[in-house]
Amino acid sequence: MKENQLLTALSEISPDLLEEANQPVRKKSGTLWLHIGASAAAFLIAGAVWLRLSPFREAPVLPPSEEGSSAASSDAGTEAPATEPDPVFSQEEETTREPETENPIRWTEEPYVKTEKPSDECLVPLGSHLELSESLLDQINQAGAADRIAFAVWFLVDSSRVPEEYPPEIQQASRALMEAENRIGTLDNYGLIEEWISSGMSWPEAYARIEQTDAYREAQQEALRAKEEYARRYLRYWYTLYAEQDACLLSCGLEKLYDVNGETGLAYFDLTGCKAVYCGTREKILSLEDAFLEQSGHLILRGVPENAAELTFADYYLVSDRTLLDGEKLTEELKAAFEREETVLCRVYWKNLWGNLDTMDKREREELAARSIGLSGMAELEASDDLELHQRFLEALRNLNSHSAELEELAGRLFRDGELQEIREYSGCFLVTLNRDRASQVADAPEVGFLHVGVSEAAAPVVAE
Amino acid sequence: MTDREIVELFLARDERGIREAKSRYGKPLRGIARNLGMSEQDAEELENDTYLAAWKSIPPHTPHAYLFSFLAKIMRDLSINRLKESGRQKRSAVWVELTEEMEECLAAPEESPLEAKQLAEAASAFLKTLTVEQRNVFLRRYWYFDSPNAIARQFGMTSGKVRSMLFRIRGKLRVYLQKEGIMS
Repeated sequence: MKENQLLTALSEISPDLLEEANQPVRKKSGTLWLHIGASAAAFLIAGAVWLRLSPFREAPVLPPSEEGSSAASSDAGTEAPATEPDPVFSQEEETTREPETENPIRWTEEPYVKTEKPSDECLVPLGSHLELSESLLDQINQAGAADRIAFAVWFLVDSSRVPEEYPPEIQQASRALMEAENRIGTLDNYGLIEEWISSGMSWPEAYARIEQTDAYREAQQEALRAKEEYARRYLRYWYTLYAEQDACLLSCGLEKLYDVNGETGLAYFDLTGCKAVYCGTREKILSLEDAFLEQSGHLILRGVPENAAELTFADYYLVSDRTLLDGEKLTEELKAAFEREETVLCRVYWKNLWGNLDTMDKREREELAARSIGLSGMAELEASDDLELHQRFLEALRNLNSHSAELEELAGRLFRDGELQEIREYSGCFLVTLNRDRASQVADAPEVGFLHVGVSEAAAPVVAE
Repeated sequence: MTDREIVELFLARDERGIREAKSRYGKPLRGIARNLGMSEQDAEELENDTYLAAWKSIPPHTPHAYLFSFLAKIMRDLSINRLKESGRQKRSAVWVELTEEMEECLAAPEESPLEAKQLAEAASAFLKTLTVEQRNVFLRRYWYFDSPNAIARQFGMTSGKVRSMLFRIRGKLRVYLQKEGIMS
């Protein structure tokens, strides 16, 4: 009989820990507040820097009009009049929609009508639905629209919790999503699995088998559809409510993992270029990417980290792309893309960084940091408690960008109250804003494990995620 | 009725204490057994055994502030023992899965078994180094035997995130146990 002593011995742990674990979720403890608060503050600051670094700050990109969306699909980045913001997904519909049999989601709903430029007056007050300390809420609510949106989307979308004041369409979609996920959970509760095991099947086989049942597949597909619908409505609402200047922030804050059917898909919320919002299983994403690349000229490349097992939720989607592109081909395509375009905004994921810093020795860390320092425009460092390393990255930021005073302030703020420590909770990448020359350097760097690159015309830069 | 009042009934040898405890905590207690793949009938039997054991243990114990944990611990131990006795461990997918996961932290000893108390103390100390959320997710999985999907729903996460979080915590626990000299 197989037994793990630790699993058994856990019975003897302190009862106060058990009481805590039995409390309703997201108990308002000071520790949790600090945890969330620090993460939120770090995110806000990171978002603010993103804006400062981003070329969109000077040239906000508006969505193409609905009428012009089809034409715009072959004319990436064409700005639409500010008075006619398009639904977020219109371009994507034209460029990447799959046959209806494979993609039952229709993209025909009317957008929300509120389209005025973001202002503090039109922001939904944060606080009633968030379990945050008053001081942090004050800080958030005093922040600019972009920061608040970035925070709220990160927090709310990720937790699938929708404030009551949101439109009923979003509430409905959220409920549908929860119901769909619950249905999967019901099927995956080991009852049937146990029965099969009793009849002699091994448990991995039983687990695999249940995933092959029609009921389970249907539940997964339903969950995927529900999540698409939820994300779509949610983003449409946010986007139309806070169009223009915040698009780039949304684009970097709205990756969302889908873990369905044993495969992992990622929603690409590219609001900056108003081009693509798609999600689904690996096959679907890849097919969409092909279409997207072919029709729009935008490039999306992905790879896979070596230490896939240690990825966080923010990283998981890479796992599904193990066979997508090898490094050489990636580099070639990347270079070709650079030849065509002027502005490059990319995310660079460093091989061996994810989850591995804990196991790297000091020299390896320093080498990694040294390599990254020459390339990074903005860094969000994941998986390290090494303050010295964080400090070095931030030093690099200060030296790299002309907004040195702002970045210096950022560095100081990040380090106060341990805020930097919490970045790891939601992000696992370096964000890099590069001009063409620097992007070429990245493409040539052998240590680059995987790139997420969006290339577009200067007027409408695209974040390829 | 509060926990304190229920415990007072136990102390006064008033059987209403059992009824009140059952009313208040019966469902989550049965959930522990069900999470291990037991039938509803088995779960009910174990629940009743739990109240009996509590009846015998209070006094001397006076779990005024942690009645549920007190009962849950009994229920957990009884459930695990039932698995052992019936030989169902081999067929319990959940138990196999949990065991394999925890072996990432502490493999089966080649020689003499480790002291449960020592392990529990180390685990408690380690858990206190985690964030509240991490700690609760860990305990929901390895103490209450909740599935990742159930935890995800409870905590408003994706199951992928839960699995990822558990993986990382197990890794930290392994390192912690090594540092404490509990495993080599």
